[in-house]
Amino acid sequence: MIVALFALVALLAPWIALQSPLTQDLAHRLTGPSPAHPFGLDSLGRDVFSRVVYGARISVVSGVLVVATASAFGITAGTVAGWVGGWWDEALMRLTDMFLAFPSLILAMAISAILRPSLTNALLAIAVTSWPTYARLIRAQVLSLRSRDYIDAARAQGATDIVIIVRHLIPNALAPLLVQATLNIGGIILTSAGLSFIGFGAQPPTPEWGLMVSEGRTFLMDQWWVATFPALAILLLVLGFNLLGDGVRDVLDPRLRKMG
Amino acid sequence: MRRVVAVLVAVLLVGVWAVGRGSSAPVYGPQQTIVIAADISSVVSLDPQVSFEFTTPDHLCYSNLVEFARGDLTHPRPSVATSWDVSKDGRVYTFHLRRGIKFASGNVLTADDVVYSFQRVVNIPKDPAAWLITQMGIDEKNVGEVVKAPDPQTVVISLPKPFSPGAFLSIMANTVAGIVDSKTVKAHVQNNDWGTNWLNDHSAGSGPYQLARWERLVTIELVANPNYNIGPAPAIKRIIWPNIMENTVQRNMLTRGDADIATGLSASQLAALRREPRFYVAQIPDLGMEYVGMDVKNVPAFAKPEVRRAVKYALDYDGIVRDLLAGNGLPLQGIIPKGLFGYDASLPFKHDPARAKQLLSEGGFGNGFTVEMLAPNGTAAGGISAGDLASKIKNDLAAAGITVNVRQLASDELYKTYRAQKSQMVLANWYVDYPDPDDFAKPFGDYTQKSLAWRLQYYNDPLAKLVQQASGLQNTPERASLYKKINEMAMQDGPFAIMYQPMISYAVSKRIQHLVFDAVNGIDFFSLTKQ
Amino acid sequence: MEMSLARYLARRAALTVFVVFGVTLITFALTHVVPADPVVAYLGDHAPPELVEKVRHQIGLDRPLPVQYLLYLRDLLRGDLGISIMDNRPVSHDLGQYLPATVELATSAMVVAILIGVPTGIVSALYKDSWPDQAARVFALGGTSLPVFYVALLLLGVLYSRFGVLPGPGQLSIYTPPPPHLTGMVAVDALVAGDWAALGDALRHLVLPAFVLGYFSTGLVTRMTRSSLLEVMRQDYVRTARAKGMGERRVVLRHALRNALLPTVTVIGLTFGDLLSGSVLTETIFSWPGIGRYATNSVTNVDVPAVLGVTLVAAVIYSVFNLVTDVVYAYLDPQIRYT
Repeated sequence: MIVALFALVALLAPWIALQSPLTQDLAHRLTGPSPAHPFGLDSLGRDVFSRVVYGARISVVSGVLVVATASAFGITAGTVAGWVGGWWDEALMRLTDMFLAFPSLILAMAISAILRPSLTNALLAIAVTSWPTYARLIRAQVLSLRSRDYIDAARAQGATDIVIIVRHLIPNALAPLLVQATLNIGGIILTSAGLSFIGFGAQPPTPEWGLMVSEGRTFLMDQWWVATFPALAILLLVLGFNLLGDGVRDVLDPRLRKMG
Repeated sequence: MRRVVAVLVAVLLVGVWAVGRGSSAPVYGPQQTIVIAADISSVVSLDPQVSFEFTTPDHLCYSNLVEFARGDLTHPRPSVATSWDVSKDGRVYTFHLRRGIKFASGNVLTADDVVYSFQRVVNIPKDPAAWLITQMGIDEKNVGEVVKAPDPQTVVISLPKPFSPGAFLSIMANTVAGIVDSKTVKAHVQNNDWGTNWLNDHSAGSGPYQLARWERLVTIELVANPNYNIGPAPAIKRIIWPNIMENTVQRNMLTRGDADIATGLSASQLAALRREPRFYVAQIPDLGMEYVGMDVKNVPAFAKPEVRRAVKYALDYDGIVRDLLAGNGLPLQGIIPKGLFGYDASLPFKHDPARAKQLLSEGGFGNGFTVEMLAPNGTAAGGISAGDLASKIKNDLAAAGITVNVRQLASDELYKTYRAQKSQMVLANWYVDYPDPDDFAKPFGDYTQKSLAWRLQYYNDPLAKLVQQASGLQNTPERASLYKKINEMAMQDGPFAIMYQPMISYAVSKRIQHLVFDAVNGIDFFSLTKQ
Repeated sequence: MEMSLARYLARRAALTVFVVFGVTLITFALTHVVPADPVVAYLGDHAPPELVEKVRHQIGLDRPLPVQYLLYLRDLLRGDLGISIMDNRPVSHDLGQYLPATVELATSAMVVAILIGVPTGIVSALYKDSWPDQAARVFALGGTSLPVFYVALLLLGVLYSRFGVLPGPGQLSIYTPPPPHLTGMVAVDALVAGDWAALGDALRHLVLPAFVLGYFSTGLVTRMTRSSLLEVMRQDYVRTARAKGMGERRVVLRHALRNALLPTVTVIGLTFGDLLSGSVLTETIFSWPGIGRYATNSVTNVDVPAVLGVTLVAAVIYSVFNLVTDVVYAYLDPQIRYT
């Protein structure tokens, strides 16, 4: 529900927003909420409501994008490891070990510093830190599925490895992946907010929520609206994704579905 | 199991609430203690010969041959040296030392300590502050010849090459020339390190305070030096700088009374504090400026003086100073900030987009051009967001027809590009090292110094000559008229659009009175009182 | 069984060394492609170009990269983590200074996460799909859904600045004399020294940062408790107990909970590593003198040996926790294949 609402806001941002998220009005900077500006104005006199609305676009898109990249990479690595096995399995799993052992925020900071701090690079950095989880998940699924009867049956019918993987393995392994992905998106949005806070994430004047909270934090006690509205937006969206993830799992996990 | 939990909970509760009398009471209570909430993350050493970023604690722990009275950075006055003579050619300085000055250890300060301190500067490897001394031509090979102690009360410094006398005395008042207790330091030398390891978290000076505790990124704590005998001892006995990186938290501490002074508040936080009766805001102009630099080789348009002037007319100085800085900065367009000899108060450039456009077409760029401006992450001078300032500049220049693509990056990366002469346009700032106009005229005017002008590939020989000429003079009317010329030339032709001079703004509890401070020495703890 | 466990352990230990080695290699490579100059970061922007080159040579950063890395490894094998570029002290000394505070904070945060997360998880499972379940989950997930720095600043602003209920940043009040340095964990040191005033002060200073960091992990703990409890409750012995006419509450508390907590606790153990790296933001705001701030400072200053030291320690901690968890599992469930 919440996620759908935000997706809608993101999609319709130009029509919902009151003005461009970048229009400055220095003379009225830091004015509080009013009918004309329901969420008030920020330190450069930009309309916080419009920035939050446009920010929905950035947050939703970036969350989905990172999950897509990370899971695509993870699926490939996990399938290769689980299906081919042997030396490949060993090498790929040790690689995931290394990435998992790496403190993720430091890795993200370093990558973001190398590629220059920007939203895209922060997202890339987060993707780099999150693919191993997907790889492990898929590998475990592949290992448990590859000996199933229907795989043998498909093989008996002369299906090639690729066909078996694409037709049978991946679709069957998707359920836990989907759960992991929905649960992961919230974390991704928060990590990118954290990176913005320490200066390694989105850069001004991008209306990214984390950056808005971070920029508004010096006004927290006097002009609360600058940081609080984007923070609430993050809360709702991340909560939405988390609840959605729980829901998806309850639906997809057959063991849990049985009882009720 | 349940019982164990109950006991644990009980212990926890008792622990939390039984904040009774501590067994060992602190020696100095709140009346004699000043707590300054500041971001001191950049401090890497408190060794006077090494420390560079934040030197207030060193100013308080060490004495120098000469010093500046707080609030007057134009005239050095006697301190450890009661008087000094200068040779005719201005290269040989003879300092006469005061008798009987004691270090915190009880040792008596002699000329040998001064000589040892100089030897430390040029010999300590990887010393960020050493260039202040080595730029005079002093190095580890000649230091024995340059700095001599003919008797315990006399120090003779014979400079190997001509050096600005104003700059020389200013540097003698800098902490890099702070005098260490050579006997104590020598006793703590390990592996030929000149005692740097030990002086990291100890002090060995003759100033009014000594270092009690220093944990990098955590806290700096000074207590009164019981052996201080250069003057009357200050009333404040303990000074603490907890490292508070978030200015919102600095303000919280001030509101709660846990801090007496907060040094890093933003303009809007200061504005809010001004309305509260328990606090006041103390401000002085900082010795520095925020500027836009234009590379005259990498961007063909900036090779034209008209285009550089067009940029200077396109900027909305009033908007920046009044709205963005909101009292945290002063207008400044010359290369020497207010508070130093040679400051030029004139503001030849006003926000005038029409004039800017006209100058652009005179320069042959009537259709505008596109340029990439590097801006740092974090804050610009005066505590405003560098991103906000960059957005403002982008807007202003767009109105004149110049398209600016802002690229924000970590300041280290910005400086790497800038120092390698590879930038197109930069948003940056420059702060004082030692309070002499030479410290600004050289980087901004003399490209042979390989500093700011050189980084922007602005090779103006007449200007460099003028800077060198002014450098060799005492603060005379002749020097003043030279700086007037230098300022004029830099403003009209130079590659720097200087926008403002930031203020140092301290938010202070009303319990603190007689607060005097300046941009070089920091707070004067002799005059300060606390109720 | 005995034999294979020993062999399993040896293999895992060897793999850990391999992983740690890989982590240093990745870190080393990363720190050298960062487009900032560590020497300029150390000396400051005013340093003349000649000085920068001189210091670069003194630090040894002008040597070929493979040589630098091999030298680093050579020192590492001797237990020497190198000298920090920024503060010129041995990195091991710095880590020893900053790590205890983080361990103290992360442990307290874990306690908070368990204290909040396990009960909400139980409520959530008991009343599955009814309103208490929803409420408990929204409450637990709320902590996981807000930016840590916002929660931290808000709580400090309200509970410390506005009402003065809790103390401000740092580990101790300024006028509380610190207990003698022993472990570096102030609360532990105070307890050992029997300094009750310092202990009370230290614990009160722990409350807010531990809550902020712990609340962030609560969602995970709740979710784990809930799902493993639900799973256990389907199992035969629980059904038997229920069939025997035991009250639902008793079934849960007596039988199900004990078995459901094991996987929960293991997951919590695994998140300890995350807490260490999640502490960066909390430490920055609460001026907590831990490894998180040291790490951020080292990364921003491209302090190569310091960054290497921090990642090394984090990787070792992660691997050890991982190993312990796996061994415990293997011990408890003999069906697990040693792979």
